Amino acid sequence: MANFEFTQNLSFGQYLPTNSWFHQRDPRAKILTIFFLMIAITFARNTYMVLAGLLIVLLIFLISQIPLKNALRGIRTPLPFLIFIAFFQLFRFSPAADNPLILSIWSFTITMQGLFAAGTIILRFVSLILTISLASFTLSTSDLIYGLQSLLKPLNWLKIPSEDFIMVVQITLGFLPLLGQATEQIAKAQAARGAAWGVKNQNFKQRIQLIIPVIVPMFLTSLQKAETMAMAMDSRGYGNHLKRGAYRQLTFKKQDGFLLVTAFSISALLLFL
Amino acid sequence: MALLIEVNQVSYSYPVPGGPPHPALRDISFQINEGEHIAIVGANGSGKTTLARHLNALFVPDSGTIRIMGLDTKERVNHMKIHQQIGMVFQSPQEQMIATSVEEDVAFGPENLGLSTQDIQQRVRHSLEQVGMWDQRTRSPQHLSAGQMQRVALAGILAMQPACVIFDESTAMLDPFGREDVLRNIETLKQSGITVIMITHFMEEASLADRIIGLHQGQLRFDGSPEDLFTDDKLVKSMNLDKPRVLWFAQQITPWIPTIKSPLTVEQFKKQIEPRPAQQSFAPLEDHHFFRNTQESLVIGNQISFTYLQNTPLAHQALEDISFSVRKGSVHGLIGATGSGKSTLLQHLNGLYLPQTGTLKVGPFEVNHETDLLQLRRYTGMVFQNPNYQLFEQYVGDEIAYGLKVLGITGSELRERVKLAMSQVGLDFEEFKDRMTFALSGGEKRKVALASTLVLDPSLMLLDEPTAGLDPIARREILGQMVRVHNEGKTLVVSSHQLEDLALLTDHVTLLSEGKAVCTRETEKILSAHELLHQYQMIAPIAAQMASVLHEKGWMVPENIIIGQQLVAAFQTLGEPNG
Repeated sequence: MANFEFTQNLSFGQYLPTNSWFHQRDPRAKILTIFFLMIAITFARNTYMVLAGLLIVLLIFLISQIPLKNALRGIRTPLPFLIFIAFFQLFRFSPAADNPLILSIWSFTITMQGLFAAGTIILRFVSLILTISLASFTLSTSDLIYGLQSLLKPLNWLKIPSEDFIMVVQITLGFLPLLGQATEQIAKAQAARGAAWGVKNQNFKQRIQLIIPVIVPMFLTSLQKAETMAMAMDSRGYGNHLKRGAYRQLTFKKQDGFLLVTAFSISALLLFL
Repeated sequence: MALLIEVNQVSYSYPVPGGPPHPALRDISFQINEGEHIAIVGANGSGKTTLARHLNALFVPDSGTIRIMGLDTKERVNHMKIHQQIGMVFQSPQEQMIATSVEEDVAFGPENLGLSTQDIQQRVRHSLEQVGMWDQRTRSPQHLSAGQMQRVALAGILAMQPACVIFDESTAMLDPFGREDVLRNIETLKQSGITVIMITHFMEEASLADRIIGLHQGQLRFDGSPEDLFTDDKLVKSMNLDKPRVLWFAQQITPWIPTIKSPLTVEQFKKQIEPRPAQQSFAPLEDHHFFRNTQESLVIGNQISFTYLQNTPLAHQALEDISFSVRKGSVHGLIGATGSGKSTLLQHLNGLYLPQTGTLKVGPFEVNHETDLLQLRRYTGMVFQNPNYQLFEQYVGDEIAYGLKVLGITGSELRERVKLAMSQVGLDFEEFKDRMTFALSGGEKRKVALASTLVLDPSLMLLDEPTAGLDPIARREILGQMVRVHNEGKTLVVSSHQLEDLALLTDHVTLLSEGKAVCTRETEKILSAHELLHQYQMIAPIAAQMASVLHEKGWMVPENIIIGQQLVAAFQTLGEPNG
């Protein structure tokens, strides 16, 4: 199947505006909540705590009124890799008195602890992936930008220009679709003149050979596009060294504080129990 | 009137690596007052864009001075003030969208001015309402149409409360309705006292200005009223420009209707004609067109549907149950507003996309998952919309040879075929083969794109917006090449917003709207159907508009007139004008 939909494959942030209670929270509170949960799930030592983390993430999905179907779609692609990694966990431990043997093939042994470790690793990764998709479903790009801008402001005390950094993030997000489009146009132009794009029965090497001639012109056109964009920014007064204003003013309400404190305490519990 | 812009003996050259700098502006001087409406015209590469970029201090002259409200653009401290006062809408809609939502994009300028949040919000709302995009404010600019993006870009500039807005070929990539939209906005700006400077290749648009500045090879050749420019045939020709078509046709029928006094727009034409006391009838149009097409169909599409990103939340249906056919040896046109599915349909014909439902037959091929796509694409050549993104080699010669090299053709055969293809489009082999593709002018890029497809000798040629962004002369040349290619026996399918072009080229036209085929008919029947076109957001060719004006006034010219020559021929059948 000829597939030239590079642009749309780069769809960033499949933001689902359901206008739920969670969606309405201050972006800073949302970002921190997700950040705490990710730390907790990554470093929790206890399998049950990881499971608890997963349940909490699913609970937030419920609160945000996001159909689980959407969330599970994100897991499907990396699942084979997860199973692959988990597979090796199975054989990690040797049987002992408190670690009963389940199965042994030649010198490989699957033990209770191994089974547990494999389960934990799948659980941990699935929870993390769900947390990340939760972020993309509930944080609009503007939430992300204004939230980060506010959260990173303290860096200015250390003379790190956080606003410039945020502008870089914003421009990159805007530029990715352009890049995808440039790639699409060049690939199509080459296909139209005989390059074997979208042709069936190609091996891996043939596919790689197709990609290489697209890369150089892609960079060239992207540079041209970037130049125009820079000019458009310049002509609208960017980089004048005045203090920039802000279109959105974030207001931190009591409910946001409640969300933040709850997320922090739950994450601490997951980590240290 | 206060002086706004003062350009004094300005020269500017682009540095060329390893060569002498390329002079883009030579000793230019003029002044612009507040509230004026100026059009800057000139052939591709005459320095229009370079000049415009000097007027808002994006570029600084090598010699001479530019003062904006008395501020010298050479002083960096003045730039902020100048950027705020002189805004610019660029040609390419997408590349000027900076933020990830419409409202934040509009807020970008005011944010840079360091205004308070409340002020910014007010300005964003006000300027988005002014261009009618307030209800779309939370959408991502990437999901808007080109016309909508230009509106957002204009709003982003209005939010800076400028004294002057420059439109740098802002209408070149838009469909006729998008273009009218921009022109309407310009009218509003003028009424609120904002100075408007527009760069354009459409002489009809330039005629709307109070004053025209004409450039030729970096020099100021003309500065005066549109009437003075366009009635001076020699000057227009020497600048490689064209008269507005209304004027062109009107001048030729003036002997029969003496009240006509060099109208530049259809409006003026209408005003200058007195209604006739008695109707003047005309003989029906003789069929001047001679088409070689047979009854045999080369392309048959039957209920084709296609959805982008099928089975995802972003799914978007581009084609719905499209049935149409193209006769062998004909030139077939596709028309429709932006987003009606023209490009997607064209890209089905050479298998870049495969129909998800329905059947498509192109020449000897059934286009589906089993098709030998390489063979199909050799049979159908495609020239894409924007030549900037379809030329990918460094040198013109390599670019044209690409398709042949893929086929494994080398040596003297390769050279001869490249040479032949270049001569077919009027490019000199020795002069152009080692030129850099990126440094070519818009018209030259189109020719290279056309040659790189012709070199493969396809039986069916697909052309997507072949004349967008070209100056009048380059446009005429490309149209001429297309006629020649057709005369050599190839079938052409052309999609275009320029109904004038299709009037000249095609015999049948398919009208698309929102992914559906509305109808397929003879060109003259569709392009003279004003109401039908209007209903689907298009505007009839100028000759057809003039014919309908004449009708209202009692000159009963044939109703199916779509090109100027037919109009003139109709009057010639009346015999010599008496008195």
